[in-house]
Amino acid sequence: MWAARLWLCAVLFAAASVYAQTSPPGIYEPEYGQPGKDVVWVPTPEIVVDTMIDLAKITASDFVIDLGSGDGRLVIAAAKRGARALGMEYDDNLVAYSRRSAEQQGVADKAQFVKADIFASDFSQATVLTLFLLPEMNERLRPQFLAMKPGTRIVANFFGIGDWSSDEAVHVPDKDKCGNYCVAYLWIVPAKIDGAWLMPQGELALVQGHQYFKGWLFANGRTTVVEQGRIRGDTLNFTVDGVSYSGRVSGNVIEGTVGHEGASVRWTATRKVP
Amino acid sequence: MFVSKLIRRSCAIVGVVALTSVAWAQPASKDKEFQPEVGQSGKDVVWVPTAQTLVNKMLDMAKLTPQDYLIDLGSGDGRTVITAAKRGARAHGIEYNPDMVELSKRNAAKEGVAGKATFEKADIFASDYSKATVITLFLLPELNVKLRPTILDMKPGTRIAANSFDMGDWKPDQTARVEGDCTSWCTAYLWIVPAKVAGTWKLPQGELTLKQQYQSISGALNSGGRSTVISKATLNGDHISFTAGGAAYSGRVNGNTIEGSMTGGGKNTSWTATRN
Repeated sequence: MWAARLWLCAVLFAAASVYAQTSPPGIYEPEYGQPGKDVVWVPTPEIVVDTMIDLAKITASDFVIDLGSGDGRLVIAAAKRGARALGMEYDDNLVAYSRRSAEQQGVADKAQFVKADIFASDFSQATVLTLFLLPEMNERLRPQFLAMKPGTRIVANFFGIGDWSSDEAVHVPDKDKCGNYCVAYLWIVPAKIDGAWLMPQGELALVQGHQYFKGWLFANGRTTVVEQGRIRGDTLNFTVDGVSYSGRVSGNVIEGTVGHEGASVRWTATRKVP
Repeated sequence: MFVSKLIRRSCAIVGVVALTSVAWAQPASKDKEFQPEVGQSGKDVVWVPTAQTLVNKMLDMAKLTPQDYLIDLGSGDGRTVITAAKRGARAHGIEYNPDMVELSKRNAAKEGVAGKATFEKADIFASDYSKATVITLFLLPELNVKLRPTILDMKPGTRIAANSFDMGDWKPDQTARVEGDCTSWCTAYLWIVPAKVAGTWKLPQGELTLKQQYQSISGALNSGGRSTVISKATLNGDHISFTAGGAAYSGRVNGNTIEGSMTGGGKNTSWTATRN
């Protein structure tokens, strides 16, 4: 729920008067544009929160971690969908505020908050990550994102993750409800398949670019090109000589099926390790 | 396209056909200095850089010294050649993509080794790399196998270090795997070009018949009407050793001559063999 100091300065003064509400003395209320550790606080519009949760297909079996959870709205919304959700937030006041909100909305058991620096935190157990950070922060976190379990969903408001193209993007049409931040992106952490693999009939070389790959199959002294390589989580698909392969990656093994003369035949590959 | 850091960090593969539908490769913009992208299509391969840790390992395995002349076949962004030059060797990169050649020259200049690290735009299949004492490569298996006859004709003892792909039925002399900054394509292979020893050799004490499959040798020594199968036979570059009839032979192969020493019956004597 954070966005850019520099990018937003101009709009902040105008927006602050709208967002800042008069609160009873002594009760902390966050203010739109208030400075944070690496960002200023800009809340994700509620409609985008819902869009992000839908896009990630968050269910009761998920563990959601929101990186920079701000006033807690996304964590609370995820908890209301039955998921266990954790907000990581650097600002103590926002953490306390989020806990109160979760309490008030009856989801304190599922919606938890911790004061933390996201760059020094372990969020690897999440099945869904949500974020509204600056592009360079997303970029900095990318190695950690890519190291997460294949299939982990990452949803972000507005800013992308460098040149890692999103698997899906949703544009919220309701401008008056989402203001300047009307796009939600979804990335699905791809299995790591880059490298050489051994198959019963020969050797498979795959060169991976996030969720896409190209490659070659060397079999019977012949080289054929692997085409249309695509990975979604731990599932991969490609064609060789017009034959479709699909499979599931589990560490150093790929198991799947290949369409062969109208029938479905099993195939396996193991990572080439000396 | 991958992260540029990854690109800088890591040189060479892979492929056989230039692919056109490269989802992640984007055209370099004209006004910027050329930046290579992992997965970009080359002549017979796409470019995948070798992780620096593996470059180091390959040069370690090849026991590269300042007396060596290294040629990298498909030198990519030049990292292997530059690393070899920094170790004091003369090093040369052959690369088909002229942008990569220019980039490599700039990189070598930046690293202060332009005097030792040279690059040329050429097709490795039409190049003469026979003067190298060390060859490095990161090509596809089929390409390695295509290069194999030429490599086997190189001077015995020439070291070949490859990333990830082997040479068909020519088994590597060494295999190593690195970790650290290397997440994929982390296997290095080393071959030492064996001397050609197959045939019948005349010794003062008889006749030595050798069979050879790359660096594997077997054979028999015929002496005084008796044939003894040789054992513990090894061939490492031009260095041959074997045991026959209780004597241990070792020697250096030089064309049609082997000269060396043998130990047997408590005596150490020299021996010479010439090929018929």
